[in-house]
Amino acid sequence: MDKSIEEIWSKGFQDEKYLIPPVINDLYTKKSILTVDKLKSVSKKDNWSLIPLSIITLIFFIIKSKLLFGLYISALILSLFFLNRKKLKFLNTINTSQSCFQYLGKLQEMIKNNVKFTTLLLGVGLPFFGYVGLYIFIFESNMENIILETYSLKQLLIKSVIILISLSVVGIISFRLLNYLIYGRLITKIDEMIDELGQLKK
Amino acid sequence: MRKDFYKTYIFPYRGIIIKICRAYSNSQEDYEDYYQEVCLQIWKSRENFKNKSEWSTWVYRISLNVCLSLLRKQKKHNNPYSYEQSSNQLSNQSDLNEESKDYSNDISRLYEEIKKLSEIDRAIILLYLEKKTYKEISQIIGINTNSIGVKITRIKKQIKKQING
Repeated sequence: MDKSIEEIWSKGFQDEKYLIPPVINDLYTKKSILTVDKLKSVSKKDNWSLIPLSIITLIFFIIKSKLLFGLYISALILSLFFLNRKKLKFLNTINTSQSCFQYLGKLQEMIKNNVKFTTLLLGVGLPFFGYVGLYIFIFESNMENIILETYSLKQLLIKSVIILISLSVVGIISFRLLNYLIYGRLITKIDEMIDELGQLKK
Repeated sequence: MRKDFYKTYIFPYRGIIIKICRAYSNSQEDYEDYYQEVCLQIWKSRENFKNKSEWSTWVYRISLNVCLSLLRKQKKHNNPYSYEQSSNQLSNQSDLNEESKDYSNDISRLYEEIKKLSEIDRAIILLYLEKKTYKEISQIIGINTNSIGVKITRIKKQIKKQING
């Protein structure tokens, strides 16, 4: 070949035919579907990981001779699994044949509601269930008499309040942190897409 | 993307985007995705353009950044390059005259060789073929102007050698 690469390049693109751009349509469709799919798969994996966690917890406490406490914690984790599964069913109702602006909006709303619900659950529910768990633990360890002899009623009350508040705060912070680590990027992506789609609509 | 933005700021520069997307994509489907993504990124970053350079330089920069980032993402997912798919992206030559057919074959071959280069070398040769000055190439790619000339000579030699067999 005697032609220079410069010549091939300049003459090769002289024909306008080579400069016909592909048609741009449904700019966000593919991206949105991929994001929804990713969210579905991450949420599923995240939820299913509760099953081995529940089994490991049970085995751990059986080894530590705390069967009742182990069963209690394990049952709580399993309840969380079923609760999440029920909530995740919503993801399957997302109709990706709708406009992506519509279903991404629904998804965003679902995520926000879910965060609110879980924050409330951990803020109120965790201290309650945690406190019950603590009683089971003390009862199973035969420590109730020692505790009652060591602490006055007032001291016990103050300690209980501290435990309840701590459980609530730790629960909420842990949830927010885990949520950020596992879903943070996906949630940001969804927010950005909705924002851009909104701008495009203007 | 607003149609008027596309008409004014993207369509006149489509050649740049098309050429770069073709050099980095592995199939027709990828090429279309790359083109869409580049257009989207140009639209999204329109407010960051501060008139410090030509709009075309801005378009080159975004196109290269987007294509490189998409290519890297694809490599991560182990999507090997298919020469068969890509080499004939420019074909469908039935309605071309002999001279055009000739150049069309040559350019497909040239693209094949460009695609064998490293990511940065691809960018350098594309900009060189687009008649960008060494200074502009250095601004777009972010490497020293002095080394551009040496690199271009080496890349051209390599391509020539491959094309001439």
